[in-house]
Amino acid sequence: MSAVARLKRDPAWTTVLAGSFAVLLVFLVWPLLTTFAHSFRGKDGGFGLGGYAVFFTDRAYRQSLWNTLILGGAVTVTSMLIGGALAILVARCRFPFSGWVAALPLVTLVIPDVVVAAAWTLILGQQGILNTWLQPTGWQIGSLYSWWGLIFVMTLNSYVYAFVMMLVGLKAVDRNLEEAAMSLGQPLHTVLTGVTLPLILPSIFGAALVVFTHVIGSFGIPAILGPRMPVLAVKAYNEFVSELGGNPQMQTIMASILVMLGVAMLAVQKLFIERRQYQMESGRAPTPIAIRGPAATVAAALVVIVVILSLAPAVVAAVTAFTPSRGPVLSYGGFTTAHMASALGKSVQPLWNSLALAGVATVAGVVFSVAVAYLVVKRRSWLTGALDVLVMLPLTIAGTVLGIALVNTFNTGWLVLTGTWIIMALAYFLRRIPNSVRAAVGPLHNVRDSIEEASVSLGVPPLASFFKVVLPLIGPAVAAAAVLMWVTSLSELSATIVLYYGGMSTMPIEIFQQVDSGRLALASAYSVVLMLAIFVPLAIARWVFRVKVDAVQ
Amino acid sequence: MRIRFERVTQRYDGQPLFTGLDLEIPSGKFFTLLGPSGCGKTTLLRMLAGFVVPDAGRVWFGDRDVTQLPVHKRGVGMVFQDYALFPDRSALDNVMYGLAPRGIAPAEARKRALAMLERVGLAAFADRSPATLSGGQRQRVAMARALVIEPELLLLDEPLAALDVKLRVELRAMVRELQLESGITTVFVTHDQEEALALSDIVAVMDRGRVVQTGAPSEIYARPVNGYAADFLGSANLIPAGEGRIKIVRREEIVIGPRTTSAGSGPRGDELEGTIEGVEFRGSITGYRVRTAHGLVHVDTWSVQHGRAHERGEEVMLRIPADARVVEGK
Repeated sequence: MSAVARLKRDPAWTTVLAGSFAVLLVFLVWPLLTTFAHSFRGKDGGFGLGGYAVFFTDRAYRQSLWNTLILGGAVTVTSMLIGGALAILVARCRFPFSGWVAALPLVTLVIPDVVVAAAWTLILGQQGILNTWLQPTGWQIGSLYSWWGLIFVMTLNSYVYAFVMMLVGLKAVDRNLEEAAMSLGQPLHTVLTGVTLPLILPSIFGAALVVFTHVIGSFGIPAILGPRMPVLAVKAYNEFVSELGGNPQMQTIMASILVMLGVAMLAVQKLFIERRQYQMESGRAPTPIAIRGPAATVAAALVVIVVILSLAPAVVAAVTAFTPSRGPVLSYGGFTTAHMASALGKSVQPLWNSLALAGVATVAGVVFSVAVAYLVVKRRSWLTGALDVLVMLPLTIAGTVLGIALVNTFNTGWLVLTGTWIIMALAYFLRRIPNSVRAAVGPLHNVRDSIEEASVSLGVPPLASFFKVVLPLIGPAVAAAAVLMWVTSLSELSATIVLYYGGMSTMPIEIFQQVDSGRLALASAYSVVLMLAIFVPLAIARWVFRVKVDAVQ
Repeated sequence: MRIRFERVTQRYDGQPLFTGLDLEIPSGKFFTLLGPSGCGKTTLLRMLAGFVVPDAGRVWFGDRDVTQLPVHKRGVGMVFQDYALFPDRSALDNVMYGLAPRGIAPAEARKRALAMLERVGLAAFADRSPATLSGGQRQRVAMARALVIEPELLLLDEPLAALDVKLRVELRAMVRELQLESGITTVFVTHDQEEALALSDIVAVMDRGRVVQTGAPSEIYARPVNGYAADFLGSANLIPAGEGRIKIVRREEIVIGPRTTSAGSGPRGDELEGTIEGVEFRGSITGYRVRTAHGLVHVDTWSVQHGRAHERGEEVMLRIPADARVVEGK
C-alpha cells in the first residue's frame, strides 16, 4: 500500500499528521521562507543579489561571518578536547572524584548562559575578582573582552554537549567486540585504534557538529563578551534594535546565512554521520579500569577543575548578590541584602512572565512532541520522515534568527502575533521541540507494535488505544522531557530578546539588560532568583517524583 | 463463521505477494496456514485481523464483506507471537481489557475474566504482572484475553514459537482443547510442520503467495500434490523418476538393509545402493542419512525393531516401496 492509501485507513492519526505539518509549515517554514525572500529585496523594492554583494564587500559584515566561523571552529575544538577527554576518562577508567561528572549536565541546565557570561566578567573582568587580587603583585590578566575570553567562556558553556554525546557513544560500544579482537591476538592499543575508534567516529563527528551549531547560534555570551568581535547572531540583533533604523535587508541576509550554515550542518549529520552509525548488539559496555598513581591524580584534577569552573558562575553570582556596590565597583567582603530585596521586588513580573510563557510552551510542546514522535516511530513513511527532518530544523537555527523571522512574518497579514505573548511562547515552543521529540522517540521504539495491535483487536479504537496502552508506558520519559523543556525555556534569551515588548520582559532579558548597563550586583541578584526558579522544580521532579531528568537535552 | 478470501491481490515491497488468491475456511474448524517465512501466511492472518487491507479482492466473514472494516470493529480474538500483554496491567486486567469496549459492567467483566483464567489454569496468578509470569503463563493469559471476548474468529500468530519444546507440546494440547470446547473458527499460522499436523482439522500449505494444497493433515501426508507439499508436511525424500517426474517417498517407508555383495547382481528396480553418511539416534527412532546415486536419502527406522544399528560409512541397500507416489516436477 502506498503511504497515502495507508493513511486513508487511519483517519485519526492522519488528522494528527496533517495538524503537525500545518503547525510547522505556518510557524517555522513560512517565517524562514519569508526571511529568505526578504533577503533578496533591496531598499528600492527590487529583487536581486545586491544585498549579498554588499554583505560580502562590506568589511564589517564580512568580518562578522569570519568571527562566527572562527568562534565556532575554535570552541568546537576546545570543547571536544575537554568533553572528549572527560568522556573517555569516565567511560573507561575509575579514579577518585570521577563520580563528580554526574553533576555536570545538571549544573549546565541550572546556570543560564547569560549568568555564565555575567559571572565571568565578575571574575576575570578589568575590575574583576582576580585582577583585584593580583593588583599588589603588579600583574594583570588580559582583557576578557577578547578572543581568548570569549573562547574560554563559550567552551565552559559548550563542552557538556560534547561530553554527553561522547559518553553515550562510548558506552554503546559492546565490550564483546574489543574482547573478540583481543582474543584474535591483537594488542590493546591496536584494538583501540582499529576497532573502537571506527565505532565511535560517528559519535565524535556528531558531537562536534552539535557543539558547532550551538556556538554559531548562541547569543548571550558573545553579546556580553564580544562587542569587539561581533558574530552574526549578535550583529543581526544589533541591526534589529538599532534606533537609527538598521538595514532590514541586512538583518535578513545575516539571518539567511546563519540558517544556511545550520541547515548545512543538519544535512551533513543526516547524509554522512547518521548513515555511518553502526547498529551494535546492545551488549555490555567495557568495564572501567581502575587507575592509580600520577595518572589518577591528573585525571582527578581535570575532573575537579572542570566541575569547579562550571560551578563557579553560580557561586560568584550568589556571593555578588549580597555584596555592596557603588556603581560598577563591588566591595567584596561586605554584606548587603539591598540587591536581593530590590531584585525580589522587581522580578515578580518578569519571573511570572518566564514561568507562564515556559508553562504554555511546555504544555503545547509536550502534546506536539509526543504526537510527532509517535508518527515518526509507529507510522513510518516518507511523509513522517519529512516531518522528522522538519521538526529537527529549530536545532540549527539561532534564536535571534528565529526571533527576527517570527517578528517580520507575523507583524502584518492575516495572522498578527508581533507584540503579543503568544509569539514569545511560540519561540520557546519551536526552540524546544527537537529535544522533546527526541526524548519521546527512544521510549516509543521500546513499545512493541503488537501491544497496540492487541488493544485495537480487542475493540479499542486506534487513538483511544494510544491513550490507554502506549501513553502510560512512555509516561515517565514524557514527564522528564516536559520538566526539561520547562526549565530550559526559563533560561531562553536569544529569541525572546527580539520578541519581547513593554511589560513582557523575562528573567534572562532582565539579567542581560542589567549586565549591559553595568549593574552587575543587581544582575547577580536576578541570577540567583532565576537559578532557584530552575533548580527547585528540577530538584522536586528528580528527588520527589523520581523523574529522570539528568540526561542533558 | 465461514471465512473466505475472494481473488485477493496484494503487493509487498513492490513485489506481488498474492495474485487473485481464493481460500475458504469452513466454520468451526481449526485451520492452519503452513509455510516458510515470506510465504504470505502472516499477511493473510493480518488481513483477517484487519491490520492489512488487500490491494484488490474481498475478505468475507460469513456473508459480511469485512474488507474495509477497521480492526477494532471486527470482534476478532488474536494471540500474538510475543504475547503482547500490557506490561503495566495485571493478568486479570489484561484479560478484562477487551470487555469494557463491549459495554460489560466491571463486576461482570471481572467474573468472566476470572472464569477464563480458571479455564487456562491461572486463577491463582490473576493479580500478577506479566513480567513476573513465565513464558508459558504469559501465553495462557494471552489466550484467555483473546477468548474471553467470545470472538467468532480466533487468530493465532505462531503463538508457541517462543516457548521451549516441552512447554510447546503441553500448550498445544491446551490450545486444541479450548478450541474444541468453544467451537470457534480458528486460524493458526506456523512454519512448524509437527504443530500443523498435531493441531489442525485442515492445513493449507503455502509457497510464495500461493496455496499449494489444502486438506486434512493425514490426506496431505498421504497424497501430497507435489514435492513441495510432501517435503513441507512430513519431510519426504524426493527421488527422480525420469521424464521430469519425481517419486515421493516418506522416510519411514524405506527399508534399510546390508548390501549383498554377490558378484554381478546390481540393484533391482526398487532398490537403491548407498553409503551411510550419518546416524542420528532420536530415542524411539533412529535416522540415517544415506548417500545414493540420486543424492542424499533420509531413512527413519524404529530403534527397537532392527537388531543391529548400521554404522557410519557402512554400505547399505535401500528398498523403496513399488507403490510410492509419483508426481510431476518439483
